Amino acid sequence: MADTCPKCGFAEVGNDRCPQCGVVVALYNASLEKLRRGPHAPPLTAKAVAPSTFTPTPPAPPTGPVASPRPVPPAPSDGSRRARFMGSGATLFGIHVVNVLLTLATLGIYAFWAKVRVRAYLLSETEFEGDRFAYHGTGREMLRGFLKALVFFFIPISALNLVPELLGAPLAVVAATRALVYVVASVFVPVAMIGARRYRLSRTSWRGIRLSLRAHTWDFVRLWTWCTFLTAVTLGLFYPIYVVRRQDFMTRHMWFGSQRFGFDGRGRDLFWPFVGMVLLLPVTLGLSWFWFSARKLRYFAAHTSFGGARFASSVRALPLAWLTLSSLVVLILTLGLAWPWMSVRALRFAYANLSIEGPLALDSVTQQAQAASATGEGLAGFLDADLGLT
Amino acid sequence: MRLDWEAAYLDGRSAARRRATVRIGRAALEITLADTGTSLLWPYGEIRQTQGLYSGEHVRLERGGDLSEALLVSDVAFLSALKATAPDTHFHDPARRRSRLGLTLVAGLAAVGIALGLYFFALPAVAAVAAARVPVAWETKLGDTIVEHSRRRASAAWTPTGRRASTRSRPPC
Repeated sequence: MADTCPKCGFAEVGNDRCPQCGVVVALYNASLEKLRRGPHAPPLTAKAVAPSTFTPTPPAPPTGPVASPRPVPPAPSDGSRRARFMGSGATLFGIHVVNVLLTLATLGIYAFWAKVRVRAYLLSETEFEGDRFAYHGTGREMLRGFLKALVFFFIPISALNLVPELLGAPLAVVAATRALVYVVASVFVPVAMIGARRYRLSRTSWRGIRLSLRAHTWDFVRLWTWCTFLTAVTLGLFYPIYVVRRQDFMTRHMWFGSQRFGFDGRGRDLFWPFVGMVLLLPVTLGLSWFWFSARKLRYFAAHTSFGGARFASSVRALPLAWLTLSSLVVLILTLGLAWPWMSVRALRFAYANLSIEGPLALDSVTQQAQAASATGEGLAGFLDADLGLT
Repeated sequence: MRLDWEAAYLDGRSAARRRATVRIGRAALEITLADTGTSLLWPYGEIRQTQGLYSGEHVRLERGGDLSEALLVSDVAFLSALKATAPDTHFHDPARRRSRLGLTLVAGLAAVGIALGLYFFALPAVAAVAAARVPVAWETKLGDTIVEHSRRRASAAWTPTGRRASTRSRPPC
């Protein structure tokens, strides 16, 4: 009879089998002892196996010098917190070079594993409250998602687009099928957007807890279709309201484990800044776009909450314009070879300007992972319907 | 050889970060949680390393299914000690990082070589094979479609608006 499970630490093990993880305590202890001795150890005697109880041992005194532990931030706590990117462009460049080689050598198939390696590196070098993020996606599931999107979306859509013309169908039929292709592809754009985000969040964790997007795809399709229609009808004037509603949808349906994110922005708040930006566009040679983008980022952050904490952004137009334009120039001059350094620079800029203020009770968050397939990710690749998020 | 290391343990069920001591054994890691004193044994065959492959990364070892437990060690020297104690394990050896610069250079040159080979030899060869199998009727139809498309664009350019646009865009002689 054991009190505490030696495997998972469950406190009340009624009989010899742990009700939580199902381990048989006696067998586990026996294998524990065997493993402790190593593969070349003499066989265990009956006496050594006999005790079926497991007493939690106090932390063993270290036999050698032990590295000083990193300070673990207390939780919950107040104050301003920021994520930091700790990686380097040189390392990312090395990963990129090997990715290019293997992608060429496998005629593109390795591209999915390459994407996973880059995402895993970027997240593993992103630190918040002393802990790094982790990426759990795999190249295999991304390849599977791509193939599903290929078979169920890309091939039928391409066939519908080309076959009537190749068969010499009347002009009316060709026009009708093209219209149908346009409508179907339009519906799949929001499906891809939300599918890609759902997949990426479900494969991202911090302190072992997964993020998730818990939203009905159809709700976003309706939002996207309606807002796109209104943006077209109003010659773009509805755009600021649309982006706020999209952000609202994506944020309010995002969870970190058992804790939900909140968003309280209103579409009309960005309307007049948008109109001002459009009016100033010719005068400023397009630079007013950066002013609006910075304002939008600050607005989104200020209206996003997590528990009792609220985000804040300090992005300003000029640094944002400098970051974007200088990166573009460097990428052109280096024929894209500087992409890893520019990515790292962009991440550092984003994290340096984003903070979260207020109390965070992170330790109380529990795991509530959600299933998500990579099909949306595959679709996003075909439709270029990517909302970012590394 | 140092066998005991400070670490953090994540149980995969809550976001609580628990301090732990990890002892490197010959066939398993023994993790002792500081708060409860519970000992956990992770046989090497059940552990996968997901971080700590590049400089600057912390070492992250995971065990279990999709929502796994994780052990985080900030000191990368832990991997060297692990490799020295259990040399047959599959964990990353930081000593091999020194050769990465040369390997990256070789990979870069190989990528350029493969790209040139694909462009100058493989693609023309595949195109020749594929072109021989495309029905002539398809080629004719495709050609007609392109000619028709071009004709429509050309006639659009001869409308008064199109002519003005083409005159404006013409460079001065």
